[in-house]
Amino acid sequence: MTDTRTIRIEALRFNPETDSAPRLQRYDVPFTPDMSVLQGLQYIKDHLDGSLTFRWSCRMAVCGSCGMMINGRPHLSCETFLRDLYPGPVRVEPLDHFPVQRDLAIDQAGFLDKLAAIKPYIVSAKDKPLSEGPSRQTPAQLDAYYQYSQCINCLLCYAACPQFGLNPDFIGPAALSLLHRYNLDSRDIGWSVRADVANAEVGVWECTVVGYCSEVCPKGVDPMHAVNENKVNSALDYLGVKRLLGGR
Amino acid sequence: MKLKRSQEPIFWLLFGGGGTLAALVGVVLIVITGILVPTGTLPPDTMSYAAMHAFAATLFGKVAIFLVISLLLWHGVHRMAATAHHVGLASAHTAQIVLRGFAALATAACAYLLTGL
Ligand code: SF4
Ligand code: FES
Repeated sequence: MTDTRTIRIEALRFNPETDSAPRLQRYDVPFTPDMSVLQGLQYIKDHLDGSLTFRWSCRMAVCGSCGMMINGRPHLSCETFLRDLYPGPVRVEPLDHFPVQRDLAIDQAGFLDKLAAIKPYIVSAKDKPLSEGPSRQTPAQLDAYYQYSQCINCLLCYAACPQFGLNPDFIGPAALSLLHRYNLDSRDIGWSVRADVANAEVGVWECTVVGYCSEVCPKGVDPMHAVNENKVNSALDYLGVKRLLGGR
Repeated sequence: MKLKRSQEPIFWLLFGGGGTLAALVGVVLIVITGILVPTGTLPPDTMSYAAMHAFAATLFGKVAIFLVISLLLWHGVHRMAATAHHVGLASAHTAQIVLRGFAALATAACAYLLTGL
């Protein structure tokens, strides 16, 4: 094909079981204008080096598994195009601040614990039998949390967060955004269910409002805003006036 | 997961109070003390010792001076502590204690001096 060009991809290689240190491996990859960085990596895996390890699933910015550092910035590799990075080289590395499982695949276990801690499901005051039909919400009630419900757990925001880099126990941007998402849902009891996490030293108070999380999020979630709103909630809670001033 | 309640809200509220006050009166104070008085736009004795002393002797004056000095200090040290943390200072926690200790001492000194007037 005439519009095929070649670009160099430098991938970080690391197997913690056998390697003492990570190294960069260089591959020259032919690409067409419609090819993403993820497709470039798949070309390497299929044609050049089957041992290169990375994650993906949906290839359409929905599943959140293909996040990696591309030229030093967190990106979804399926929606980052090689044509935009030409003439290269393109450096791909695992997401910052996470332990590496192998090559570009990071260990997400810590995040999954944090996700569980914020109770990422609706906690309602009483069980509603199915026979009562769906719970209705007004457009305004939906708007209140919609943005935060768009999170795909891609962890780009964690790779962007210097506080998470300094303290891996920090609950972090995405989990705190999801905490906010459920607290804001009219079907949920709200603040009291998740106050212990927000109020904790590793909760909202670890954040120093750098804001890079909100810049790198591919889904338009604004984690910094979620954290800031919950600093207000947590401060009111600390003074014992959360219920008086902050609603639910 | 170990969740220990943070005491940060106290300092954050002081920081927020200081920020609000700085936005409301900070600029006005700079304009008055830094421009209008030195250039003689306001009468030369606006900030004379006698005038300032009289202002500080009123209850309103005491409260205003106390709030401006203490809250703006708390605001400032919060930022400086965050900066120490951001630049990865190994002793950022010590810096925080020193800075907050300084703000607390200055607040106490300010209250003491004002009540003595
Ligand atoms: S908040 Fe955005 S960047 Fe963070 S995990 Fe969710 S979708 Fe990804
Ligand atoms: S492969 Fe699913 S988000 Fe990129």
